[in-house]
Amino acid sequence: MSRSMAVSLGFLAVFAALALLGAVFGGLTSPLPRADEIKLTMPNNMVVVAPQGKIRREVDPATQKTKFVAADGFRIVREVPASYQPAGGEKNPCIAADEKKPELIFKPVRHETHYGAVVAGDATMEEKNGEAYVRVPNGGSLIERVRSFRGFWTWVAAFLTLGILSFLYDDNPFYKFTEHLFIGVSAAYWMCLAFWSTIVPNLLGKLWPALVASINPGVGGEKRNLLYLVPLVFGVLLLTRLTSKFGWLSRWSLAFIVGTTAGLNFVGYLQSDFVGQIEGSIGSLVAIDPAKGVQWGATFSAIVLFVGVLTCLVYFFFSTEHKGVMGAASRVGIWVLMITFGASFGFTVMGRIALLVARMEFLFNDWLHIIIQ
Amino acid sequence: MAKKTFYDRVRDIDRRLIFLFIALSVAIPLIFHLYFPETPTPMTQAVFDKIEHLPAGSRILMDFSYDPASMPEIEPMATAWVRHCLLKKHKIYAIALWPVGPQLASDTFNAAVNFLRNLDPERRIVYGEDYVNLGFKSGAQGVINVLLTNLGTLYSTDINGANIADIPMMNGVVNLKSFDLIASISAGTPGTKELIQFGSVPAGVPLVAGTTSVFAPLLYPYYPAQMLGILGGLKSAAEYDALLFRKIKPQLQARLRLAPKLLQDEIAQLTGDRSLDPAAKRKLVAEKTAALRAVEKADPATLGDRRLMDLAGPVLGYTQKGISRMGPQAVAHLVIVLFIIIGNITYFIDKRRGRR
Repeated sequence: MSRSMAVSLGFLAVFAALALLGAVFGGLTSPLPRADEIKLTMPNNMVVVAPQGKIRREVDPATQKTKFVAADGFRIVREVPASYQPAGGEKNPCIAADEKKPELIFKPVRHETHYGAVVAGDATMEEKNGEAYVRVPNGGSLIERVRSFRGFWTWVAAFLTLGILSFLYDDNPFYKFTEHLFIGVSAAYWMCLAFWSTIVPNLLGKLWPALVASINPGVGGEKRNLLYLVPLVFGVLLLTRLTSKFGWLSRWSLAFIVGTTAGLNFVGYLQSDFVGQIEGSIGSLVAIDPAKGVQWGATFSAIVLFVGVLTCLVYFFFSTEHKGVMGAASRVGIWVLMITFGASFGFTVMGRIALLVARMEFLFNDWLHIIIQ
Repeated sequence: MAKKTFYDRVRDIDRRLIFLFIALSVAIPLIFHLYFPETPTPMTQAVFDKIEHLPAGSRILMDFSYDPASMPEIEPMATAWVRHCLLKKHKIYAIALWPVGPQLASDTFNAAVNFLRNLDPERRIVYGEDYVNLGFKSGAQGVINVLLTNLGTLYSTDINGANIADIPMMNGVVNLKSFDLIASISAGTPGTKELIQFGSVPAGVPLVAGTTSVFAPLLYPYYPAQMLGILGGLKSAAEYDALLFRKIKPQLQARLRLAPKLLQDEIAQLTGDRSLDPAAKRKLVAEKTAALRAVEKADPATLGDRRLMDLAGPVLGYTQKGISRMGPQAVAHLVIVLFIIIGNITYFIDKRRGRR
C-alpha cells in the first residue's frame, strides 16, 4: 500500500471515529435534509417565508394584546396585520410588494436560512400528522415546505476542515482536493463579489442606470453620467497587458492609478504617519498627570520608546560606519528590532491559535455537539 | 544502531507529536468549557471608558471591515461593542470597507438585539432609530475622503435599499464631524489605519479600534495620540467581555431570578418544535433542563461570576465568545511556551556537547 493511500485511509478512520464519538457522547448533527421552513403566500402576491418555530404569539398579561416574539437569531422586521395591503409607493424593499419578483420582497436577516424576514401577520401554525400547517386569514395559503440542507452542509464543512488539517500529518489526496476546492471557490467568490459590489454599482450603474436597476433593484436608477466612460476606458486599457503588441497602453492606466493614489495618500501619511509619529515619540518624554504629578511608569515607557526609535534609526543609517557610539547604538537598535519581531511573532501565534480554537469549536459544537456546558 | 536515550527522543521529537499536543491543548479545555478570569489592560480599559462615558444618544460610526476568515478574533469584540453601545443608548452607524462586512454587521446586530431584549424586555431597540447598516462601498481611502466632506453623496440608501432621508437617525448626519466617536473593527487594509489617516485625524473625531492579533502591532504606534484605545486579538476581546460582564451583572442577576418561568416556556417550545434535528433537540432540551434545575437551586445574588456566566448563556443567550475561546488559547500558549523551553534547553545542551 502506498504512503498516500495509507494516509488517506487514516484520515477516513479519524473522520469516522470523530463522527462515532459525536453519535455516542454528543448529539451528532444529522446530514439529512429537514423541513424547517414554511413558505406561504399572502394577498397581493406577497410571499412570506417563516422558519417554523422561530416565531410565536404571546398574549401580554397586562394589556391582553397579542404580540409576536422571534426566537434567538431572528428578528421581526415588521408585524403585518391580517388586513395589511401593501401600498404601491412603499419605499422600504423589506416590505414592499414587487409583483414581478415576489421572492425579492423580503431580504435575508439570517444567512443560514436565506430567509427569515419574518412577517407573520395574523398567521398561526399548527401540526397535523407530523406536518406543519400555516393558516393565514384574509386569503393567505400555504405554498410549500422548504427543505433545509443545513445539516448536510455542516458535514461537508467538517469533512473539509479535517481535510485541510490532515496536511499536518502528511500530504494526501483529501488535502489536495480540499485545497484546490478552497482556492477555486475563493477566486470565483471574490471575482463575483468584486463585479457585483464594485463594477456594477460604481461603473455600469452610472453608465446604464436603467438597465442595471432592472437587473439589480436598488442599484443604479440615477441619471446617466458619461464621465464614467473615462474609468471604463482606463479599465479596458489595463487588460491590454494580456497582449504583447498593445501592452504598453496599460501604462496609461497604471500611471493614473499610481498618481492618484500617491496624491490621495500624501497628506494622510504626512499628517498621521510622519508628523504624528514624531510627536508621539518625542512629544511627551515626561508624563505628568495634573492631579497626581509626575507618572514615573509612563515616563520610563516614554523614554524607552524614544531610545528604541532612535537606536533603530541609527541601525538603518549607513552613511557613517557603525563604530564607537554609533556601533553601540546600532547594537541596541538590533535588540529593539528583535524584541519587536518577537512580539509580532507572538501576536501571530495568538491569532493562529484563535483560528484553530474557532475551527475546533465548529467541529465539537456545531457538528458533534460534545462541548460540555 | 545505538538505542535512543530519553534525551534523544525529546530532542528529536516528531513535529506531528507537537501538533497533537497543541490539538489536545485546545480541544480538552474547549470540550470541558474551561476559562479564566480576565484583567483588562489600559488599552482595553480606555476603549471601554470612552464608550461608557459618552452621553446617551451619541453617534458612533462603526466600521465592520473584516471577513469570515478573521471572525474568530473579531466577532467577539464586535458583539461586545454593539451590546455596550446599545446598552448605553448610543446610535450606531455601520459602514464597511470590506465587501462582506455588512452581512457580518447584520448578524452582530441581530445577536446583540436579541440578547438585549432578553435582558430588558421593556427596552425598545429599533432599526433606523438605534442602529443602521449603511453597507459596503468600494474605494478604501477614497470612501473615507468622501465621508469627510459629505456622507450623503456616497450613501444614498442603507443595506436594504431604503433612502437615508427616510431613516430617522440619519437626520443631522452630514459628514465625519457629525459623529462623536469612530469605532473601527478591522482585520487589515483598508480599515483602521486608513480611518486614522484620512478620517479621524483630519476630522478631529476620536477613534477606538479592534483588530486581529496579526494586525495589532501595526496599529500600536497610533496609541494613544491618534487612537484612544485598541483591542488587539482574542485576549483583548475577552478583557472587554469581562468589563461588560461587570457592568451588566446586576441586570443579569435580576433577569435570572425570573429564569425558571422563561426556561419552562422555552423547553415546552423546543419539545414541540419538529423542525430541529432530533439529536440537537435532545441536547438543547437537556441543556435547558439542566439550566432550569441549576437556576431553581441557585440564588443569582449569591452566585459566583463564573456560575452566573454559565447560567446566563442558555437562559438569556448571553454568549461570551472572547472569554470562552481564551481558555483553550491560554492552555495552548502554555504548551507552546513549554516546547520552546524544551527546544532551547536541548539546543544549549547540544551546543555544550559540541554537536552543533
